Amino acid sequence: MTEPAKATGAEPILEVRDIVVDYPGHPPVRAVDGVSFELYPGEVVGLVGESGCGKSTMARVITGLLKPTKGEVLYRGEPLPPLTARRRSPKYTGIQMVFQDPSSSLNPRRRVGSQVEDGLQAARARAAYETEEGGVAVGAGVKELTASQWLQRIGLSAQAAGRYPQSFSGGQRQRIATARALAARPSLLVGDEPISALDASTQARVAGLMCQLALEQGTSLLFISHDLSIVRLIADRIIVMYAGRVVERGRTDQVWNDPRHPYTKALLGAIPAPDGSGRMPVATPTGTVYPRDEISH
Amino acid sequence: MAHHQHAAAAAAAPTAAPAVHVGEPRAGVPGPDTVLTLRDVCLDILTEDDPIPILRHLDLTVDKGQIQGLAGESGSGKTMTGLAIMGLEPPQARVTGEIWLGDENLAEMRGRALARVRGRRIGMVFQDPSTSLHPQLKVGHQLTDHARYHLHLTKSEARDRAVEMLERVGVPNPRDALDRYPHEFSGGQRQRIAIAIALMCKPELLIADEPTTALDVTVQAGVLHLIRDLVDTLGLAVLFITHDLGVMSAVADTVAVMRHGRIVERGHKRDIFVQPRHPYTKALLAALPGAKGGLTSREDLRHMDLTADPEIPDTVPGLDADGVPIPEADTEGKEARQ
Repeated sequence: MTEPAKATGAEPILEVRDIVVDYPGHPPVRAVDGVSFELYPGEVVGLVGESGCGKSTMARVITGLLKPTKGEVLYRGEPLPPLTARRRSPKYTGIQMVFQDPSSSLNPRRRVGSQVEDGLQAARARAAYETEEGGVAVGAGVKELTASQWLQRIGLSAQAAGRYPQSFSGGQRQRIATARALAARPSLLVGDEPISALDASTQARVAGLMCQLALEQGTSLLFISHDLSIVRLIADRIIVMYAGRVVERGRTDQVWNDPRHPYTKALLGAIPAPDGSGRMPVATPTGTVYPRDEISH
Repeated sequence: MAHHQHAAAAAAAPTAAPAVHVGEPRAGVPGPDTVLTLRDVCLDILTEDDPIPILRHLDLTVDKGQIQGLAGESGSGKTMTGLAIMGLEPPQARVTGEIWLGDENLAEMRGRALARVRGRRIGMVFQDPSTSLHPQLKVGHQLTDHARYHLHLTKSEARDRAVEMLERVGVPNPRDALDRYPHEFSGGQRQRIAIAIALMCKPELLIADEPTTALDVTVQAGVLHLIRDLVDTLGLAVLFITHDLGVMSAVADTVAVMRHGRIVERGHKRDIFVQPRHPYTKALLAALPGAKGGLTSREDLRHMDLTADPEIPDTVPGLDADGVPIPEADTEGKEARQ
């Protein structure tokens, strides 16, 4: 397992600071309650937790789809403007996202080749912008692939470019969505439950491929999932969220082998292992409430 | 591994009923405790052209006090199997073969005769309790309605039984719960209510189709314990349908693995998970974290062809999957065991 880039003194690619999100209601619902973390270049971080813990809300905040009630998101050291109806500066196409349901995140009426081409165009536009600004584009020096090369890269035939999303399986669609996102050469890829709609046998492969392709071009990956058993396969670090807070964070081996927070322990104990032992997962008594204070490694 | 240590604390649940032959892979050969027997069940969807085969020659038994697992990926036919048993297949489907519940062949029953079995002798629990429960009817109504119809109970008798059932499945304050609506309960509680509804008429067989898939893992664990406990204490027979092999490993006694509408491998849980014979089962397990010989680290993923779908060719296979060769380890495995 690689050391987090933090140790090398690199600048974080993304910093979220004291994010609070209230959803309107009577009273308002506090979905995220003071979450802070950083992501460094080239690392894979797993953000895990169960329904309602605020992990998807965090994904929306990080990509600018949702304006937080309080707190700020810094992308490469600068505040990230929220996404509005107006086109954002090409600079921010450096954050890409893969959504949960590939059947709704790919456009059903466009050939997949042209959708991957969108990603390539975003990369070109950003490269032009950054050259103008005197910066260096992420992934500069890495050979640019064409759309059909990208599709071959993810295990499809070159002819796949001419087909529509409906002719692909769920796993293939999610790989196409990954190719589209990575073709934009992002510095950060956010996957919001990207594997939970897939069959079990495909989940690890798609997660592994996302991780491998992202690392190859130096993209950081924030992998949001409720499935710790998959996350621990790919992540360098794990952040555990519960009831809108981060309750535990640490290197993957620390969190997996030596969970300290009672919630993390419950979460790990509840994962049934497909080993034929018949061991029942540990059930938590109904109505158990865990402390929301963070325990760090 | 950490979760193993925690899980060990709760390992008190028995892995199999003590009866000697529980778990023997007797395809379609009923024994004294057999509640449900499928014999050569086929299901085709009739179209203007050729019928489309969905289920192919299924043989399966479910015994009293046994959880028979039915595993498979999307499109394998596992849900359709459950629906066909209940007579809930779509109208354009044609079911052939025999479906014996005790001494009645459900495959030959229609209309009212089937309605007397459905909900009374067979209970069913579906994946998503937020859609399987009626949002506008009080929980009490949904618990008592079919019980009054089937068992001719009075209103108060039915309510008493409903309270008893809610208590049994672990819903707190059962008497108050009767007058509340489904949205007032959490997902896990709703699924417990759905199980209570299925159990109201004391059925012999429970068909549970992905009953924990929509739940969080910590909540799932509680529901799995409940189902195991109901089987052990009430002697219920359960057909447990899931794609999640971790869940399957936790609750099932025997497992049948489906693919393209066929059962490709069956056997005792331990054999399936520890010594799978069919290449499909092997491939399925090799791709899972936590399985014997399955994935444990990023290093393992590196050695895997991440872009391959060994079980899925380049495009989605048609429903007529006869064109895809499936090695028949099934019969081989059965003979080897006998």
